[in-house]
Amino acid sequence: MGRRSSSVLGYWRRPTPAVVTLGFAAMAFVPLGGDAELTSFFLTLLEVMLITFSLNMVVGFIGYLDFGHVVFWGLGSYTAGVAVSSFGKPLTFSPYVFVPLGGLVAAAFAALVGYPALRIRGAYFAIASFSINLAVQTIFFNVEAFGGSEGLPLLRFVSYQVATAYYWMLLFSFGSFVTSYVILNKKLGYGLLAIRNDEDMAKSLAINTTAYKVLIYAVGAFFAGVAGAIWGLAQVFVDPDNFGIGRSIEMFVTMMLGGVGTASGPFIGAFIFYGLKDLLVLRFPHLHLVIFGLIIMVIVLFLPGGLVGTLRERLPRLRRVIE
Amino acid sequence: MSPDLLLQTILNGLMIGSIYGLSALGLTLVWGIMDVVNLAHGEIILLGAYLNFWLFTLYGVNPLVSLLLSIPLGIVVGWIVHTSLVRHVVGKSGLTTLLLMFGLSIFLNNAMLNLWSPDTRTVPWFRTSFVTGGLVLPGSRLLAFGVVLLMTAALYFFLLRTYSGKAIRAVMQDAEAAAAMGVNTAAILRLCFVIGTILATVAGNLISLVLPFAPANAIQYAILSFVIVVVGGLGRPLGALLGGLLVGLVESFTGTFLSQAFSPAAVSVLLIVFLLLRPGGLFGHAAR
Repeated sequence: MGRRSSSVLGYWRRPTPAVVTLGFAAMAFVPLGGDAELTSFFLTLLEVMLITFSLNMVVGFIGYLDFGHVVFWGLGSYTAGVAVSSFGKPLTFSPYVFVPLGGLVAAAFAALVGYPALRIRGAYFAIASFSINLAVQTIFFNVEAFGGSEGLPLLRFVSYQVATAYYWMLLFSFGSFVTSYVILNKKLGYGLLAIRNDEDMAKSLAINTTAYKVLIYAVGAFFAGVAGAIWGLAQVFVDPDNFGIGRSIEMFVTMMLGGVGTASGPFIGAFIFYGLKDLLVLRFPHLHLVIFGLIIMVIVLFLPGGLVGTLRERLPRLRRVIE
Repeated sequence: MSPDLLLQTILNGLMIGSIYGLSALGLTLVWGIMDVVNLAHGEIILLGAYLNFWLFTLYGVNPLVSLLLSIPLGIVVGWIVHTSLVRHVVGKSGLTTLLLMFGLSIFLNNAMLNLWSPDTRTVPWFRTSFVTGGLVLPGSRLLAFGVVLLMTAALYFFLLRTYSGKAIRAVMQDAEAAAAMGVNTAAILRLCFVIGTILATVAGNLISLVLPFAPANAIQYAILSFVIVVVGGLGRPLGALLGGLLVGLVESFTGTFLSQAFSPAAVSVLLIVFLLLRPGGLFGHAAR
């Protein structure tokens, strides 16, 4: 882990946070060029990055395979959508004030279901989390107040603003990176990784495993909910397909490309993912998911640490440089 | 409500549930013996369903013949998946095995989508129904029910009476002790995986006879099988069968009294109730 930094500011002297922060700063210039297509491309990239950071907090930090993580994303988008449409007329203020609310609703839901659900482990948790997502999706598909299977169109209440959405997404993506990085370098992070490595052992070392797990689950859910809320407002549309498996595949591939459980993995992973996706979608518009399935299998068998994890393992000198 | 409707709901639940039970049998065997949860189980079930569909649609092959052919299909698929993937991750962490099978599931599902389109398919064969009193018993469902009983009996005979079956149970109880007694555990694990895929392809074949199916249904069958394994208790074939019947009943009662749309949610609730209150399944211990 290297030296322990005495203050939060001390982290910025280390290469990983400095470089990633510079990367985020550079992305702040994207909308200034006025190219809407480029801006919305980077918006989708940041969106996948943000939700991957949030997924990584659960899967990477405590080793709980959260196949239902997209439920928090969907809840965030519905929170924003319902809040905006509850006014019944066009909003006189920015709808993005509801973004933190989306995150908070998702986090509250995570704490509520996480307390019982995180007691079960391994494949049981994976399927239970998937079932929670399925149950919530069924509700949104069938309850007319939420627009049923047609979803909630928001164009009557808010307008389409790519640049605003972009800066909110950038802000929270950066926030999720800082949160991941700081957690990993604090006592909380050591406790979480101890849970990942051997939960019973962690418990015997007087780590309050339940509190740690529920806390990180809620923090992860918060960022996923925020991503969903921004996305819903950016698309001016919220629909129950938001809970679909397609999004889960994207974030899992991104996380595994970058490196599960690393601080910078989702950042790097998002760029590789979009590079690959652009390459694949153009050449094989229908086959790209087949290839993503292959990529996942190849990573598990040959590069289990993703890019960051593998580099750290192969080149011990890089351990202090990339985290 | 009328007693006829109640009886019909129960019968429908049992007939469909028995097929679910058969598809869960394969999952519970593999999971119980090698601690690998085959997330691609739903896709392998669908391979069996598509075998029946294509042979019937293109060449008019009798589904009973493709039922027999689904056994060699299961052997080939099981052998390929085990040799190329599963073999390398046995004994590794749950994260590794689950992610690998997740990748396989995405791969197979989207391959089927591309090759055979997302259309919903049916095999319109043996659609005569037997009407007794107020009850309707569709022939294809009765046939499927009979095949499930036959397959379960065959599996039990295999597990209880043959050397390989006894070896499978020995490895399930204690792999090291079994190896010390001269059991070739690697071969037994491969055999077990192949049996799991055979059961899946046969179940898929039966599903294609009684229900419409599409690539999108794979995940639904995987989840159902998973819930059944939890309900029946890990590694317990009889538990899987009874769990299948229970899940079938839950589905048909939800469909009759609430709405078909809510049956996935009802099954999820069943899963969560069992995980929290009886994690060992119907006959299992409370501890895990």
